[in-house]
Order: sequence, then structure tokens, then C-alpha cells
Amino acid sequence: MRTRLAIVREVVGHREPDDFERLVRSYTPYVASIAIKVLGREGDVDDVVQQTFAEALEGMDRLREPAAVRGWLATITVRILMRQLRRQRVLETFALAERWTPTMLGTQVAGGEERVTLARVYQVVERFSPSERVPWALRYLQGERLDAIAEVTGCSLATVKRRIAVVQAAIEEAFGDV
Amino acid sequence: MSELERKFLATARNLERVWDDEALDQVAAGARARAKRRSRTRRLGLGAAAAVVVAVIAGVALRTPVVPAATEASVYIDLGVPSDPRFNVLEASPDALVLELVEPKATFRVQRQEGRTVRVKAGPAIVEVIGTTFTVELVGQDTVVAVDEGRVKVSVAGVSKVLTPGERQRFSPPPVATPEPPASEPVPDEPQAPPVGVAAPASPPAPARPQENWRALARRGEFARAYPVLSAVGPSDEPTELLLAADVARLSGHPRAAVPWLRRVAMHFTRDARAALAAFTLGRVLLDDLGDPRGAARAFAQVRVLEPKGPLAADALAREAEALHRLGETAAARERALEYLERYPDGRKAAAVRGWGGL
Repeated sequence: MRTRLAIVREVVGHREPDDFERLVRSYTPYVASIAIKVLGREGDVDDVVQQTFAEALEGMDRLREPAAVRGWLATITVRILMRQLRRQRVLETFALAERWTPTMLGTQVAGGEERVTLARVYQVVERFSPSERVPWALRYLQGERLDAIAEVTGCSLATVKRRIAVVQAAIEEAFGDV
Repeated sequence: MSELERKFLATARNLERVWDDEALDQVAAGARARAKRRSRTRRLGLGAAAAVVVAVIAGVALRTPVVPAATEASVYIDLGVPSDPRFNVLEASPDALVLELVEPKATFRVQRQEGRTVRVKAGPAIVEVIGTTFTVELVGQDTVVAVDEGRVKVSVAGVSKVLTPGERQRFSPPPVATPEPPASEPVPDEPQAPPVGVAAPASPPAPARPQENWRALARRGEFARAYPVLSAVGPSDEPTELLLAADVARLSGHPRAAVPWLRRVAMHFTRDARAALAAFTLGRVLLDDLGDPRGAARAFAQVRVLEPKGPLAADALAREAEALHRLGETAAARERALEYLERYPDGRKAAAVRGWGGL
């Protein structure tokens, strides 16, 4: 059986002295991309990315297939995001945290229309539970395949489709004029 | 794939960030530190009594020098707590080792720390070690840092710079702040202008704090905590920061304070792509939050001046009609309503606009 280092080296190359750092360099943009799409805000992205790689560092022993690295990291990321969103909802329920009001005014990269669109999108999706909004964001903002979403969220394909459809109906209603 | 899906995917791509080497280094270091903490927490999770014992033992151990004195040539920092007359140990914990240079000069060789951050305070500078050999020298009020191997991050008054092998730089303490005259806005009849100017507050000055504090709080969504800090220091006169400041003010329940910052972007950075958005937001704040339809009508009109065919033009025209209606200027409201219906006969606000225009 190959060691975890052998697998990581096969995936990300072996020239770097530190394989973990090589893994971080290769996959941080992907992990961060999932986090920002799901959260809709930059504030917690660094936290999610670091936590993802911290758990990845601990779990490398369980990795068996090099081709699975990307999905494995996505699964960890989604689990952390779900946890974070659920915690946030509980805090909001008991008025222990302020409700996040989406705003993209300070975003540098997007144009005016895009910022308005994104603000409206997150205003709609944040009404839904994490188990509904996360699959929707992975599908419509990250562009993941349905079977991949089912895998990373640990749900059946039918459940994923149903949860996405719930959010999508609200989105279509909100963007009916688009 | 539907048109809506394509639009969302393309729009969401704008959220993705470019990661530079420094940011990636921070991710790796932060992940290692977290993994170490998690591992340590699990080990200590055997029971509260065991944890207390471990904490006591660790506390005793941290007070005991475990490394021989450094060589004359350099200070060697391994995983323990160093002892050397050239510096004081300000903090020694599993997460951080903070030293304060007391001699004019010292060279440090630092072993990879596995999650512990090593910082050296020297004059105005704080040198954060990223795994390296470097020399720190006090020259009058300044600090000179030279790197032989690896990299260090030097911070002075909240501003950081990473030095790489072969680099040597002198860092001076920040000049004593002199109050600047508050920037005045040339729009005279907006009574809502808050006491906070674009860059300086008129209220009694609070203790100076690094400007990045309020920005960091804002980016974490902690607007209520960010606002007092922002009020004390003010944003710099730059669109991104002004818009972020406006976000902080609005979302912390201080819409009045957002007005001059939004107006600054809308009126003075007219070539910036965000000027129209700032004007539109200004109109909404004035109309919805501050009950100032006259100011709002002007702001919505400015949107159409900035981007007559932009994505906000239709809504701005509708909101201008609404503001004029609320102001009681029925003729002007009717004129704008007719213009809206002519330009956007199927616009999503057509029904509301008819009402505001009395049509």
C-alpha cells in the first residue's frame, strides 16, 4: 500500500521539500472558491481555508486514491461550511449574532451590475437552511456536477436535486424580471 | 444550461481571489498551527484533571530555560524558550514566542517552529519569523533588518513588509500624527453630513489604532465593532475604502455617516466603475433611511449622469420619480414617470412608477 506522501506526491509533484505546502499551493484557490461562493462574503474565507487544510493534514492517512484529492478537499470544505452556517443560524436565532446583510459595495473585482446581482442572490439564499443553500451554491455559483455535490454533501442524488430545486424556485421568483 | 445559470456562474467568478505566495504561506502555516492545536486538544481531552496537571507542568516548563545560551555569533531559537542577555522574553507559549531586543544588535537563527510564531520587537519594528537567519540592529530611533536565509515579515505601525534573502532595510517609527483639516464637500444643502469627514473626525479624537483594524472587522461582518474604530480614524480618500466605510456605517445602523463617503465616490471619483453604484446607494440611504427625498432625487439623477445606459439607470429613474412624488413635486414626478414608461415600457417598476407619476 502506498504511503500518504507517495499519493500526494503523485498528485501534486514531488519537487517541493514540503509536500503539505505543495498541496496547499495547488488547492487553496479551489477550496477558497467553494468557501466564497457558499458564504458570499470574504470575512470567513481564510478561516475556512485554514481549517480545511488543518483537517486535511490530519486525515491524509485515509486518502487512498490520488484522483480523489480534489473531491476529498471539497468534502472537508463543505463539512466545515455547513458547521459554520449552522452555528451562525443558531446564534442569529438567539440574537447572539447580527444577521449578515449581503453587500458587495466594497468588492473590487465585480462591476456594478454584478455586485447588485450577487447581493440579490445572497439575500435570497440566506433564507434557506445550510443543507439547502450549500448544494444550490455548489451547483449554480461553483458549477459543480450534481453527482459530485451528492458525494461531497453525503446525500443521495435525489435529495440534492430536491434541495437545489427549493432554492432555485425562490431565485427564479426573485429574478423573474431578468 | 439556462441563461440564468450562465449569468450566475460568470458573476460568481468575480468573487474569486488571486492568491499570492505570502497568502499561501499563511494558509499553510495557519493550517499547521490549527492541526497542532487540534491534536493537542485531543491529547488533553482525557479529562479535566489531567488537563490541569498538564497545564501546571507546562507552566513550570515555560518558566525554565531549556536551551543553553546562544553562541556569541548568533542567537539560536529551537522549539524551547531561549535565554540570552541580548533580549527579553515577553511571551513564551505553545503558539507564540515574543522577544524584545535590548542590545543594539543580534543575529537570529530560527529552527522551523511547527506552529509557533516567533516575533522579535526591536524599536518601532516587529519582525515576524517565517523560518530563517536574520540580523536586527537598532540605529537611533530606527531598526535595520537584514535577512540571510528564509523570510521575515517586518511590521511597523500596522504596515508590513516581507524581506527575502539578501534584503536589508531600515524601518523608521511612524511620524507623530498631525491633524489634517477635514475634507469639505462642495454640496451645500445636505444637512445630514456627519461630524466625520472623509479622512478625519471632528469629534474628540480617539486613541490612534491601526487602520486595518476596522477593515478587518468589516470584512468579518462585525460592523458594529468596526464602526467606532472607523469613526476615530476615518477611511482614506480612495473609492474601495470609502465604499467599505459606507458599508460599515450603513450596516451598523449609522446611515447618516455613510452619506459623505458615498457622495465622495459618486461626485469625485466619477471615472471609477463604482461611482454610479455609490450614487444609487446614496439615493436609497437618503430616501429610505434618512427621509430626505430632495437629496435622494439628486443622487438618483446623478446615477443616470454617470451611467445613462448602465444597469442601474432604469431603477434610478424609477426611484427618482418616487423621491419627487414623496417631495410633493407632482409635475416633476410625472415627467420622470413618463420618461421611465417610454424608455422601459416593460420595466419591473412600471406599475409603481405609474402610481408615483399620477398616471
